[in-house]
Amino acid sequence: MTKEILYYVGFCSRCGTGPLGIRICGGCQRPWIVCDECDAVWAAPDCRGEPMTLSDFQLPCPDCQASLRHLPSRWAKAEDLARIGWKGDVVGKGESLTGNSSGAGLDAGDHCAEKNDTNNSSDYGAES
Amino acid sequence: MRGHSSPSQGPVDRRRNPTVRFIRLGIVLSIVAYVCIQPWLEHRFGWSLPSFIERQDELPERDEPTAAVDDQEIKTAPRQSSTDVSTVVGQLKEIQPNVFESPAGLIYTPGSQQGHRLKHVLAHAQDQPNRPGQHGVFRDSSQDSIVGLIDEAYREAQKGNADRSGTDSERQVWTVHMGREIGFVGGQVGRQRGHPKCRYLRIVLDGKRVITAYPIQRRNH
Repeated sequence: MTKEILYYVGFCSRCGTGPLGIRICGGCQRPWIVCDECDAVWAAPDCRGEPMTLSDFQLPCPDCQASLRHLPSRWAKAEDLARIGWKGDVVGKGESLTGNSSGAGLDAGDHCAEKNDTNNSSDYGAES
Repeated sequence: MRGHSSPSQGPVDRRRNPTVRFIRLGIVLSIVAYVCIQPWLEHRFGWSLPSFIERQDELPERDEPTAAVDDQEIKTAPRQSSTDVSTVVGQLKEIQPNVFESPAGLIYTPGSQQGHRLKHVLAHAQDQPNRPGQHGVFRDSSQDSIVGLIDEAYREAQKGNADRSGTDSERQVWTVHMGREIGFVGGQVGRQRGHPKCRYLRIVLDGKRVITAYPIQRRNH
């Protein structure tokens, strides 16, 4: 998995460590705050209250239901920040969490990824 | 001659002095008692106490995978057909296509940016020095070790030995003191702080489904 740069507005109050990145929905272009560690989602950079919990498999945009996880959804770029007016909320940037592709006995994970798009009908894969 | 004998008698007298002997005995017993109860105190109260004995299994911190990773790749079970239900990959049992159950009953499903929650967790097998904040890195980066450690923490949490701050209506966030070093803090913060050691494991669960898990330095959010 390629390393993506994410601009973040703070750290997740749920998991405690995940950077809160600005994610642009590929369907409606709306920005969301998404935790890079636990996928908690907030609508605005102040991240008030309990986060939204979306389907773990697709992470559907609450507005248009397009997957926030898969392309064309992406982390916001520098030019997006001015457009959406959240530039002042950004506290830094860095690399998003990447998949481990080089070691650590990833047989199961690699094998999972191959089937990732075909098993969302399983009891666990299609949870709410 | 008397002048010489007197100083040499002094230490002998002090050694024979019952008060000195009791003090020394008390110090030795206190040290022994501390060494014995230190792990329990850390485990029970989440304190991080100084240790007289450095554990032999502690290894130098690392930024890159060690040779153990390569060993584990050889040990890993051969790839199974994903259509076979109840196949086994390492410790994990495939209970549905692409859904894996650990020995403790935790479930790893598709999800996350990495495509599968297992891959998401295994992203913590290596440091990412440019990731913002704290990126907890497992000391032993093999899949079986990581899955086993998460199972161990889960069992401890089920016994009530977990800090549950961070848990909300949708997710359980448990932080468990593992009683030993299990990893180090990586990422941008870890790099700045000299990669402090981690003795806690944080698990984020949706019921029995693992969302993420990683080593952490302190139990507090």
